[in-house]
Amino acid sequence: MALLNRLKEYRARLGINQTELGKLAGVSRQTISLIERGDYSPSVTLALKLAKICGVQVEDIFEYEEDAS
Amino acid sequence: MKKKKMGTYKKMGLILLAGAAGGGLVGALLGAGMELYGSGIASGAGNVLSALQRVMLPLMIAIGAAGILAGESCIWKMKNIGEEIAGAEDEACDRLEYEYEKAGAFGMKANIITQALCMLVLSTGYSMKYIGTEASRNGHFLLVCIIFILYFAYAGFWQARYVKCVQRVYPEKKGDPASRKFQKEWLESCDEAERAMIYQSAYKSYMTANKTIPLLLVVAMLCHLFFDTGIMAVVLLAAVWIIVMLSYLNSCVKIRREKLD
Repeated sequence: MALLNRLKEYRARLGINQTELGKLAGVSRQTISLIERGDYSPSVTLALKLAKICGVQVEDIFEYEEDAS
Repeated sequence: MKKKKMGTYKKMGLILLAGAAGGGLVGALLGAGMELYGSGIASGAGNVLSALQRVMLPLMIAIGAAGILAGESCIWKMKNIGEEIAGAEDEACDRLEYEYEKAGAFGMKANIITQALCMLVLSTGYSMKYIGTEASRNGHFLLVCIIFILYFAYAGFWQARYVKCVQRVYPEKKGDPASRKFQKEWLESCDEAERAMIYQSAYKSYMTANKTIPLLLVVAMLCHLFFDTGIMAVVLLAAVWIIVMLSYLNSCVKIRREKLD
């Protein structure tokens, strides 16, 4: 299973960098970077928080994709 | 055609049999080796110990100097990278933070390894048998003890400087290194991704301990069998094994219980 995300795109729309988004969400810049690169799947709480900051629904940022296998 | 999978108990039985056969073979080879070279190995080990006792002072100075050199270069590197991180763009930051982590880990490894080596060197003369000999009366052992204490003080302060260095770059990281609650406060100030990384590394450490301690126990038992090194090493390793296992298992049960409340 894979969790695709468009966080980088929504962050760019807000015009803020990873550090600023991290501060707003109460996490480190590294965590935002890990999420954007798809190396870390955030908790539901953090995903909801990020969606709220971006002013969209969680599903707009995160998309669950099942493996073909 | 579908290949039939071997049953768990059969597989375990075969592993045990192979282990017993391997152990028997190694035991027979060691026994034969000891019969032939046992006295040579024992006297060789005695000679190495006396040689280490003779060079205890320069060895301790060299280890201490290497530790200080590694520690200071690490702090210097961390400060430089930290300054770069402060003004870096997101993409460059990822690479810099990796370099920062790597430099810190190198310093911490050097700190711990040199402390362990210092203890090892000190322990070559840290016995009443040695202290009572003529060789120990040249004052070298006292100097070694002083350097040991000074280096341990340096290593302790270095760890505090390391933490302060990290806190300067990441002010959100909390905890006073001099406080007993430091580890707890540090962990609480980490976010979920950082905690996940800490837990993953902790589990890996537990798995490593679980593999290496039994092996070391066997080595300690064999050394006691052939060289009469005493049962203390076996007792201590068994104690460490029990402590590691119990702390892991008790923690699992405690977390489950907390979820019930």
